[in-house]
Amino acid sequence: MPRTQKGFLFDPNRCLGCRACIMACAAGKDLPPGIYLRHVTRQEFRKGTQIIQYYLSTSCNHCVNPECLRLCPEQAFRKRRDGIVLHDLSKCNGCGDCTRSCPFEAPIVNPTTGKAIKCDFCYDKLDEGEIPFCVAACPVQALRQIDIWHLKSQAPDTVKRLHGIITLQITRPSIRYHALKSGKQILRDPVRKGDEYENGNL
Amino acid sequence: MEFIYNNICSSDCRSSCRIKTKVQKGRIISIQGDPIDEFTLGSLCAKGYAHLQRIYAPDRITYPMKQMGKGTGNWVRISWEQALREIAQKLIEIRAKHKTLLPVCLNKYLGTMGLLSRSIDGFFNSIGYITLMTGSPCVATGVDALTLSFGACKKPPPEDMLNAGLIVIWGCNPAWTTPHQMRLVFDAREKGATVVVIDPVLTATAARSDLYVQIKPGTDWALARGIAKILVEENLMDQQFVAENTNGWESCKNSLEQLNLDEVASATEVPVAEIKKLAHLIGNTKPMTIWLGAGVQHTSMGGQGFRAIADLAAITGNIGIPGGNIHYGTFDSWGFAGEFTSLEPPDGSKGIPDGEGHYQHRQVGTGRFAELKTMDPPIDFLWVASHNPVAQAPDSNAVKQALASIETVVVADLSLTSTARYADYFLPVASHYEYEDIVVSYWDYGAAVNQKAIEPLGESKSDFEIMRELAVVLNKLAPGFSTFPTDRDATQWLDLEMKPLYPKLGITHYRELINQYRRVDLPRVPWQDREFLTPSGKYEFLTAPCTPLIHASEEVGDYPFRLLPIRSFATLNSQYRNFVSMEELSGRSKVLVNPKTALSKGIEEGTRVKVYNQLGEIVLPAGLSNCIPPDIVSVYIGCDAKEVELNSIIALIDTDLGQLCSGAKGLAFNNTFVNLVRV
Repeated sequence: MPRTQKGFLFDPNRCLGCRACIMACAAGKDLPPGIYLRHVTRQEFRKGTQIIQYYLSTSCNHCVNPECLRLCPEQAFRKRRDGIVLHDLSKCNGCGDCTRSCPFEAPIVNPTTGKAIKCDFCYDKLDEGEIPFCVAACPVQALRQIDIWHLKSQAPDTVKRLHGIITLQITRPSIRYHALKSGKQILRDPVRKGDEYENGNL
Repeated sequence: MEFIYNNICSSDCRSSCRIKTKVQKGRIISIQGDPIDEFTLGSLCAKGYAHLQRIYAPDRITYPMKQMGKGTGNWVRISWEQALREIAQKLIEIRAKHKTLLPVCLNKYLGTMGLLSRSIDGFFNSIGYITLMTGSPCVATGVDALTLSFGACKKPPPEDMLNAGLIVIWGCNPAWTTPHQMRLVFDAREKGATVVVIDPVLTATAARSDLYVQIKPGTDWALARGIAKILVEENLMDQQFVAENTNGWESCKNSLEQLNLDEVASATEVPVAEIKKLAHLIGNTKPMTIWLGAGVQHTSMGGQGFRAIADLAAITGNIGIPGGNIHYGTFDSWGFAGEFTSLEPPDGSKGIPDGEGHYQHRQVGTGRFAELKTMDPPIDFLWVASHNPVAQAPDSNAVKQALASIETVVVADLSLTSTARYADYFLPVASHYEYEDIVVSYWDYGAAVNQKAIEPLGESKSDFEIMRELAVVLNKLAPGFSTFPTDRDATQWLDLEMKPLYPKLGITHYRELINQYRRVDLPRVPWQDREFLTPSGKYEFLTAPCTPLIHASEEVGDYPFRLLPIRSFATLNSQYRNFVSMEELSGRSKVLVNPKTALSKGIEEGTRVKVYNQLGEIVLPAGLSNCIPPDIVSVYIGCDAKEVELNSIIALIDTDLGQLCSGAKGLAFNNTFVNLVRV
């Protein structure tokens, strides 16, 4: 196990769903229009009479046990000493095994090159002492970069799962969350028992 | 060789983000937020990061065109020489025929907030008295309301929110429209502030609040009045502030006494017990600040709503103190010299008598395109700049008909917008990366130079160059037609316009703003001197009687669902909607409906739904969400307009205010009712 493991700390109590992270990444990495390495999804579910709504920003989780690295037939993936999972474009044959094997569907096949592409944690920026595009772009610091192994000293009250998140932990994704808090709601037509509806795509 | 330029986003937005632009071989290769910007701290919004796609958009048109038959799509590329000559000849013809330029109409808005865009108004002032489309589809109602109450729109700087103990965000979704301010909202909360959101829709902002109050749309006035009544009854007032600094209190108090809280509860659909709790929170937490968005003012009683909400700040003495006041907007940071707007027509020009022996422009309210057809003399020539009224004004079909009926329509824009499709001439405007300009924020008062990073693409020109060259051509064909000083270059204009602001910015020339963050120096706390700019010198309470108006807010009709056009993170009105990335990011446009409504109509997620009323119909896939109440359906403004024109079913309804400051009543975009059926 490496001594450090780069990862993300995400605060659903601050995320606005504004998508600046996605576009900062796309612009910074000069991705073709419509190709993104980060995704923001809206989560909606019911809790008693209240409606819980929050946004979730995800990319490659730079897993401790990356499935992409294990399954890639060309061994195009490698894990740096700091835990960042990198993909070597020159070795990639575009087979898509990584896309299918990743529980988070983080690697995608770039239609313009026919090869896989995924978040590289902006390791080149990191090596220059800078921070990733997505983290820098967040107007409310909902997304931060952390060292997973030294998290407790930085943010003691974190959790590994949130409602609506893929619960599979077998790859040990390097992402932690702040626990979701919700305020009080005075709704005109409160959701009642029997009204089953979750995860609308607003 | 790489060059870095300083730019500033010129879209009509509170943030006015400063941008660092990297240029290589005359082409912009990257855009990043500028960390010296003390409001944005160097982050842009999703749209800002997509600016490269705007500059190099495949659908951008960079040469003048003439359409052979409006709406036919039969466009022919022409030269600037031909375009400007033919347009000039048309203006000369009109003046010769009518002995006035009243048949010429200008419709210009805020497609760019760049200072130089004022040259468009300046040019039309310089040729004669014309018909001016006046008013503001955005803020007219709110500006009038606050002007009636306070005498002027003044606001604290963004950081003053950190001093608040209670932040009430009313009819506003800043998570998507002003994300940078949300940093300060969250920081205030970490310091102990409570965040309340009042909105008909459970927005991204509402979801992050401490208390969300879901209000029936259009009843903000009633809720604010109900809260006021409780504040008075339970003496949660600042008696001293009210006694010393306000006018109309007795009358206001009397009307509150007549108010029945049960009626307020039934109108707003907020239970009396909850209104009381909200009143206690407002009455017991000081300082309280209120952030008013566009939502309230886009209803038929929006002006009264704004004033009733402002009254809550007055009753509780939350005016003129740090952490208090109302965050809405101000024009104080725009104290330009007015060199463009003060240009005068040539001697002997005739227009509408102003009653004092002079002439003035004929005015028509913004969005009222149907009126253009019935004016005397009628409109023969329309110039549309910095605006896309087919997409943005109510009743798109009425706008299209008006455009079709006008002999000559000129649209100056970056691409063939839905308005440009009804133009005779299309003039290609340069993006704001292609000419030097200045933007001053009306939110944080930051003033920045927008440097010219690249040459204008193709044959495109800034609005300023277009107007200046048109003046040259006009004066060549008809000497003395325009008084526009055509030998003055953009730099000189900017310097002249900015001169009054130099002392407030601590500079002697605008170019000193390059590489440094400066704000127009406005008071940290507005109204601290309690000297209100109303005729009485006091804060003016709303004194209108309560009861009849509560009943007036009840809506009845053939169409059971209120259609709320709401803002998406992916668009700014009709801007940005043609980007591939924005379309992908926001998904296809949908009509958002409550699952209960969907069930009653046999609609499921993704079902194609016809949304219709007396004006027309649009067809969109359904998106289901409990965040939308059952009697409301919602569509994002500006999404997916290639096939669907949302405003074709938005009714043209006046709000209750707007004429005082903007010259025309505001537009009640939130008062449209529709029905749904699956197709």
